[in-house]
Amino acid sequence: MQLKCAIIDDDSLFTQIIEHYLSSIDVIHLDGVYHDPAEALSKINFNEIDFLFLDMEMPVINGISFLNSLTVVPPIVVVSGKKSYGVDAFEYNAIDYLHKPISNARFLKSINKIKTFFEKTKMPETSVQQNIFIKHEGVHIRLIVNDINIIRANDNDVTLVANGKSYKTHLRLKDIYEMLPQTEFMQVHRSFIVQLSKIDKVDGEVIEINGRTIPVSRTYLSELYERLRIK
Amino acid sequence: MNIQELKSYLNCDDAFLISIMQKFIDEVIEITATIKTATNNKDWGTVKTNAHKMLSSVRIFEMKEVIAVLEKLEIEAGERKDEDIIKKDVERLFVLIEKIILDMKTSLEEVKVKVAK
Repeated sequence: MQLKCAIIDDDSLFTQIIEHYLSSIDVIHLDGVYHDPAEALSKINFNEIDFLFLDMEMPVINGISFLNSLTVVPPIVVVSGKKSYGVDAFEYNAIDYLHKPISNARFLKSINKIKTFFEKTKMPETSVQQNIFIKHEGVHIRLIVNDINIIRANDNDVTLVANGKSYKTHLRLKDIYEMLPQTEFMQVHRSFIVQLSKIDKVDGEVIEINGRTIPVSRTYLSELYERLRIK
Repeated sequence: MNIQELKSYLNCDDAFLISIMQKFIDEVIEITATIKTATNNKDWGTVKTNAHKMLSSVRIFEMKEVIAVLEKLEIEAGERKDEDIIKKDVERLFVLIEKIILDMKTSLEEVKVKVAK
């Protein structure tokens, strides 16, 4: 298991220490360190990281505002110099709460919690429905479920977009939907199913995934906003 | 501050310790200057933000006296109740900072000498 993370904390001395701690942990790859939450919002691809170390007390945008601005909230490890943020950590289902300063011993305990979290929650789900077979150009091909972004119903067939490639199949949209984990995918239009964690933008009744715009029917709009935790 | 305890706390070698100590000195000097200017301008929001910023750093080195002043200053500057009290605490902070910077520079030189041997 290899996990990708990012650190968002305006305290550069602290982030230097965490980088040092992480440098000896093989299972976790540090994707980026951001001292400015606004920069993190614009640069992090939240579909590509597994979790965040997030400071709660930052000027301009604090940790709570940062989380509220995300369409898809990744698992987080809450970091703060104040113990009172433990309650917020609980509310956001944080994997762990780290009270600054953080010793290496305490950090390693947190790493164990993170590993357990992903072993328990992420791995079993993906191992059960890790891939599906679809008939494309006469051959059954395997698609990794997590790679599938968009499924579109055309007049006579269905197109699955996975890893930037398109695959046409004669299965019905409904049949494909049943093959996918319902917790990860949602029908947003009579012709579209999308993987929720792949959505980059939501603009009213239109969503964007990898630069492709997808309409959202009014029937599905409130459910979509609810599932993306958009208030 | 006990250097050996800090090394064990951070589980690090002398090279990393030197980089952390140097960064601490640089940051504290910079934040102190910002607090000084903000106090002169009665910009209590900046005083609060920077007191908080410095707190993070001094907690690593367990500088209890400075921590107490900064915690008080962060609250007072946030509430903006009594400017005279804030100014007094800022002055107290500067006295303490002068001492901790001096101590830290001495410790840093000691570690550097040890590494050079």
